Amino acid sequence: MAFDPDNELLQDFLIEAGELLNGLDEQLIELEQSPDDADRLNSVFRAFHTIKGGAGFLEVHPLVEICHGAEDTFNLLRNHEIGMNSRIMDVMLQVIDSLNGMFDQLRAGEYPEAVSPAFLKEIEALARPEAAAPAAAQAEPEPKQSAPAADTPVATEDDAFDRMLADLDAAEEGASPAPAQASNAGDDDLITDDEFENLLDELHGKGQFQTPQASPDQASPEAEKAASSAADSDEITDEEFEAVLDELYGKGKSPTSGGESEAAPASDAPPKSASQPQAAAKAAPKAAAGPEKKAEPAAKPKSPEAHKPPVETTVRVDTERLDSIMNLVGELVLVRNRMNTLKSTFENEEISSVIATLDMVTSDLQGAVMKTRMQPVKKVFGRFPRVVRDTARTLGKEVNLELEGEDTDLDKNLVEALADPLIHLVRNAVDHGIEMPDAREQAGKPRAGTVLLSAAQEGDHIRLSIRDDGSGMDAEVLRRKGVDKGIVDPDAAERLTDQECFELILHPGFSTKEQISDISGRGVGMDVVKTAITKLSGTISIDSSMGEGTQINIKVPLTLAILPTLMVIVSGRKYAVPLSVVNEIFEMADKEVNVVDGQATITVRDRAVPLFRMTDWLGLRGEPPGQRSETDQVVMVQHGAQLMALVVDSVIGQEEVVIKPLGELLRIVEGFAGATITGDGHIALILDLPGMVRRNAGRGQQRLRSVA
Amino acid sequence: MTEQAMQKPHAPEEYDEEFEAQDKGPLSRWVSFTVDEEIYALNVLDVQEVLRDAEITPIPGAPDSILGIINLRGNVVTVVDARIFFGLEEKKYDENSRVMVIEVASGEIVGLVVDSVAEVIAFPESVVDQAMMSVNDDRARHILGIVPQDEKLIILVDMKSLSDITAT
Repeated sequence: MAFDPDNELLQDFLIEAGELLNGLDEQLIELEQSPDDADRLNSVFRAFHTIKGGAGFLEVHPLVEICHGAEDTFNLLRNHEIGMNSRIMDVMLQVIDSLNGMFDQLRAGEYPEAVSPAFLKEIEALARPEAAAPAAAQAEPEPKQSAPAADTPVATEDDAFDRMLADLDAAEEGASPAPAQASNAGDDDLITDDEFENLLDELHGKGQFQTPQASPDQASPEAEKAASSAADSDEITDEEFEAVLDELYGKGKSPTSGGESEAAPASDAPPKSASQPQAAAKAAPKAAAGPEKKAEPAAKPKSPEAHKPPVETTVRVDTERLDSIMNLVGELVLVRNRMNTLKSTFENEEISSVIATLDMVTSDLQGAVMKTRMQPVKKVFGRFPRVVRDTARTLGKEVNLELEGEDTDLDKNLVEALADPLIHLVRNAVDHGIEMPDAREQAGKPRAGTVLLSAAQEGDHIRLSIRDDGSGMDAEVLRRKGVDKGIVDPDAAERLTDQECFELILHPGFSTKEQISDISGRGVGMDVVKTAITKLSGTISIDSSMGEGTQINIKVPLTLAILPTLMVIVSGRKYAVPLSVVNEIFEMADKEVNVVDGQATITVRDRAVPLFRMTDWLGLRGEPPGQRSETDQVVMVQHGAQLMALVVDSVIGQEEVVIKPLGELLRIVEGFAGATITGDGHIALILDLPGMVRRNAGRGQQRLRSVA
Repeated sequence: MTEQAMQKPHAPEEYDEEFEAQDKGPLSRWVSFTVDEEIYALNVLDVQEVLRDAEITPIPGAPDSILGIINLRGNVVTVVDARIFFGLEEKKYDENSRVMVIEVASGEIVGLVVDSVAEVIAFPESVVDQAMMSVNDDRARHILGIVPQDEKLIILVDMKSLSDITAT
């Protein structure tokens, strides 16, 4: 069976349930930290429940099955019938993974594959009291009030209900497993005594059967009373029956009412299902707690929030639409820039003031539109507790993850693009940064390491940092390694600062994994991280001190669509240098150029900085090699930890530009991040410094004569 | 398809009707252009517009066949030299030169610089079909066929393969 991917209900379900699913990961990890957090248990339960409801409506049975098992388990957990343990957690995380897989299949328009029966059994086993704490049996009679009412219509609907029924019957009979009850217990008349015994055992846990037995005459009358007051099958009205069903399962689940409530999109279903399980949760402990509280079971449970669903204040907008708005605003910004350029030629005060207003409004509009694309960085951070937990568990380490600044807003595209590099870095921090617990103890540190992930806005940039309190990196080892790998020559290696040594790990071909990981350092693939960050016109820097830990800082612009740049002129054409890499600008005229090691350098504040002529770097066809002129200006740029001086003909000034990507045909050309249309309607290429450096790597020798 | 492409000076509307009147079946229209004395023609449906003046910004480091980029109403469009594509000598952009804006196989919009754009010619489809059958050369996949016209040969081309220009 295939799905029509355009099915609106399916799409709604995928979005809604997908969000729930994303949240589940995080919530589960938090639960592991504080297993008794009742709110969280409830919310996890609700999430599974809602997903199950939706899946049931769409008849995606594999999803229903797995959610059902998870839901059962959390029902027991939140009722304190079983305790949270790492086994449950592991299985639940696997459940999330399977669910994610199924969602992917659904998104692709396929009918998801069912999970293996063994896995289902495993999930179900969790919900069985034997697997859990002895307390389980006490609360098991929870479904008493509803079961008689539910008898025929729903009994066959799902096995959980069967179990409840069986349980109810057993309880009503004062827990004596008389054969007569066997026929009531399920809808299967052929059940044998032994089977019934087993069933009871399963339900109550072997040793736990005494609880109801201890006071059979007390318990069963109460149960009967409760049952008759709330839901006796003879007297119950349809409404009451519905109410009880709802209370137990949440609206979505009951087969009679399920249809319309689940069909209702996003806004409708979640509030309902959110409140219902709560109600059930309240009712359940009461049932177990004592007779006097049983009198008010059906009436009270509905929480007040259920009656006033929150007013909708949000609209879901297709990101494509946002992107097109963003593009239009980009065009508007360009027009505004052109207007600004023209303003001086008018010399008319009125026009000037109108243009100034336009300028302001455009800026505001730009800001406002940009805000609509902003998402809290939480969206990425949310995945990390799981990543850290899994990595730490695999490695046998103890790691605490701290998150800071989760509410920092950041462009949606950035949020997505940052996810993978960050996961890589965090995993690295746990893998290579944090030491084994014993080693930490020996070093006088707490057994559990800490990884701090923080985000903060700094002007028009976002700074993300990953800090661990692990062993740190050894600059000397990295230096040696860099020489061994032929990344730096020995002379150059000697001159590298510690920080530059750390940044060697970002170099492609510097896979340190096997040799260095036991001493310190990060592994394979850091160059991939670097490439990803660079693509976002971000920068990455590493700081580390032996024995104290490592901090990796990532700076990315707030948004990708608009880029602050420095406009320069080279060979009569405008080029835009991203402001993020520009350190300073000065006149070339009075600077002395030295040739060190075959490389033209210039001394800036007692520091030798390699000097490159942009004309030569660009190497435009038919363009003569650049000559030194009095009016040359130098733009100091930062390439990783390396400062470079670029000689340009002149500097125009700062301009915010809209990046227009270059076509596919130009993909093979390195060194440009795109193009932009300048205020006067011309095109300026946007420099991509890392690409340009790559392109010119190893070409330093021939050029220096023209510079010097 | 933009208006400009249709408003070729030598392609008055009645031209079509003339042809229809002669009852030669449905017509297909081709934009003819010249590159180094040869006449080529692109299907009108493949040509989005023809630009007279284009300020081409060169891309340092790009392959020779790519002249640069132009600003097409706020969009950046890569411009390819037809001469280099056809394996001919370079020639400076002059007053007759035109940029034909076409869509290539990858879906990208590309500008093709040609020596001049002449007119829109309508051929009966039967003529075109026949011409296409006569050409079967794998080395020049962009050549669809050759149609004789007024003692000249018009080479029908398909420039979709421009998207491979930098792949080789």
